[in-house]
Amino acid sequence: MAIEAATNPVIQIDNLSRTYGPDEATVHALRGISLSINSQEMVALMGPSGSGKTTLMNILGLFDRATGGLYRLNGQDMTHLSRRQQASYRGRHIAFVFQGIHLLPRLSALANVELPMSYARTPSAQRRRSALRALELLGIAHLKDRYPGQMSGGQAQRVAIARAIAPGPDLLLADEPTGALDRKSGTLVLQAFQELHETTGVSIVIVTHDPLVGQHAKRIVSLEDGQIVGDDPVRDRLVAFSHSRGGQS
Amino acid sequence: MNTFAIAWDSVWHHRTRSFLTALGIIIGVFAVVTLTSLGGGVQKYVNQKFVGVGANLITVMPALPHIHSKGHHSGFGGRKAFANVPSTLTPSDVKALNHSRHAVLRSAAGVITVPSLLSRPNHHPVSASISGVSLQFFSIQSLKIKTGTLAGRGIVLGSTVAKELFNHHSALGQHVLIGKTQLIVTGILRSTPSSPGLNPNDTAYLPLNTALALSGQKTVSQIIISASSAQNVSAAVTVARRILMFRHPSHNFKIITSQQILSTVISTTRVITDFLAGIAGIALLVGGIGIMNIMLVTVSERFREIGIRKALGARDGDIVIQFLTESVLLSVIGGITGTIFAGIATHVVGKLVGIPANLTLGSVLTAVVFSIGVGVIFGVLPAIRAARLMPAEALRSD
Repeated sequence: MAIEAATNPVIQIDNLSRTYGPDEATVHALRGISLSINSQEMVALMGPSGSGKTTLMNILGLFDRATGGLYRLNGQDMTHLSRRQQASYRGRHIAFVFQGIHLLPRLSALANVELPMSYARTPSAQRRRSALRALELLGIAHLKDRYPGQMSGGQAQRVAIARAIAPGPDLLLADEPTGALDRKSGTLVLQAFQELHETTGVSIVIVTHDPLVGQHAKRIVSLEDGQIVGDDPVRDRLVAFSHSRGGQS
Repeated sequence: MNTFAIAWDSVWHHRTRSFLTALGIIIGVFAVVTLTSLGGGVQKYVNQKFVGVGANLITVMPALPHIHSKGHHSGFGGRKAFANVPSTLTPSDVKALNHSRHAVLRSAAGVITVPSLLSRPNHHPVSASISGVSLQFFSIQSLKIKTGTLAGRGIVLGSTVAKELFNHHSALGQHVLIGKTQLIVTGILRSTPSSPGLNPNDTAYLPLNTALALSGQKTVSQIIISASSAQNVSAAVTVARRILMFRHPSHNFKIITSQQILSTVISTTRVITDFLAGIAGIALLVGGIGIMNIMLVTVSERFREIGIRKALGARDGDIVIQFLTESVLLSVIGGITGTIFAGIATHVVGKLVGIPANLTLGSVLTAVVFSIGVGVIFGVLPAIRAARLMPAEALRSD
C-alpha cells in the first residue's frame, strides 16, 4: 500500500495557503498545508468549526483557488486553471456528496444520477448504463423512477452517492455526508462508501466532525486553525473513535 | 434531461408567476401586432378602393398662379393645397376638355359643392352633401343611377339620402328643398361602397348648371377627368395640362392623379402605423424588464440548484444557456399568446370597421423576432449572474 501510494498520488498539495480579505484584516483560513492522498484511500478530514476543513474542501473540489502553494490532481497542476477548465476538470475527475441532500427535486433518481454525465457530454446510452450500474451498486436500482420527495433521507443520500460515482471519478469529496441523517441511515451510507471504495477503488475524502465517519475511514487527517495537527492511519477502530472525539471540541 | 425540458419544467412549476411575467410580453406583442396588422388592413383597403374607383382618375383643382409655370407640378400635399384658393375653373374648361377628341381623354366632368341643406318640405334637414355635377360624372366615378336620370331642375339622391328623406317610400317624383329652392327627385343612385373623398350614398347630385345658378357661382370646384386607361394616365395629364394652359396661361390650377393620392394616403397610413407600433413597442420593453426582474429573482431562489449543477460539472456556459432558455421560453410563450390574441382582435376589428385586416406574415415575424430578442436581451444579465455564482458556500448551508 505504501509503495502504491508513493507512485500514485491522486491529491498532492504542498504548502497550500488561502487568505481572505485585505492586508490589514487578512484571515488565514489555511496556513501552509502539505498533504498527499493516494488512489484507493479513504480519508476522513476532521476538525472543529473554523479549522479550515471547508476551505480545503473547496480548493480540492476546484470551487476555490489557493492564494499560495501548489495543488496537483492526478499529477496535474490545478492552481492556474481558468474557470472553464476548472469546471471541465471537476466534471470529469471529481465527484461530490454534500451534507444537505442535494438532489434536484424535479428530476427522478435516474435523471439526477445522469446529470453530471450529461454535463460531461457523455453519450446518452452510455449515460443510462453507468447510471443504472451506480444505482445497482448502491442497492437502490428499484428507486430509479422515484423523485427525491418520495424517498427517505438515507435513500436520497445513496442516490446522491450513486450520482457522484456514476461517471467514474478519481476522487470523491464528501462534505458531512451523514450530517443530515440519523445514526442508522448514516451507518448505511458510510457502509456504502466503504463498499464503493473497495469495489471501485475511488479515493474518498470525507470532511466531517462526526465520529461515526472516523470509524469507517482508513486514515484520519485532523485540522485545527488552518494547519494539520494529526495524520494517522486507522488500524484500530477504537483509535479512530477516540481521535475523533478529541477533535470535536 | 435537455435544456428545454428543464426550462419548461421551471416555467410550468411557477405557472402563476410565469403567466404574469409573460403577460407583459403578451400585451406588448398584442399591441404591436394588432396595430401593424390593422395598419396593413387600412392600406389594403385604401388600395382596393382606389382600384375600384379607377386608377385612371385625374382631378383638376384650382391653385395659385404659378410664377414658373413651366415647372413640374406635384401639387398634392404641397403648401398651396392648404390655401383657400378661389377657383377659376369654369364649365367651359370642362367643355373644352370634352371636346378635345383626344384618344387618351375619355371624358371630363365639372364638380361644384353647394353649401346648403337638403330637406323635405316641412321636415328637418338631413345630413347630406350636395354636389353639382355634369352627367359624365357618374360614368367617370362608375356610379350607377338605379332609376331616373339627372336633368333640368331634377336631383339625383344617394341611396342613404333617399332612405333618410323618404324612408322606404319611392323618392322618385317627390319634392325636396335645397335651401329654399324646390327641386324634383329625378333619380336614385344604386348603393355604392364609399371610397376616399367620395361618399355617393350620402350625397345629392344636381345638374351642374342648376347648382351654379343656385349658388350664384360661375366657377366649378374641380374637374374630374377619366383617362382612357390606367396606362394612359400620364399622357392624359399632359393633354389636359396643355388644353388648360391654353385657357389659363397663369397656370392657376393643378392636376392630381388618383395614383398620387393613393401613394400619399398609403405613405401617411404607414407613418401613422409605424408611429403607433413604436409606442406599442414601449409596452414590449416594459414586458422585457418584467422578465429580467423575474429571472433575477429566479436566479437567487435557485442559488442551491445552480451550486449543485456546477458541482456536477456544469460550465458557466451551461448555466447561461439554461437561464437564457427559460427567459426566451417565457417571452416566446408571451409572443405566441399575444399574436393569437392580436389575430382575433384584428379579425374582429376588421369585421366591425369593414377593412380587410388580417395577421400579416410580416407582423407575425416581427412578433417572433421581437419576443425572442426581448427574451435574450433581458435574460442575458440574470443568466450571467447565475453563471458567476460561486456556490460552494451555498451548498454547505441548509
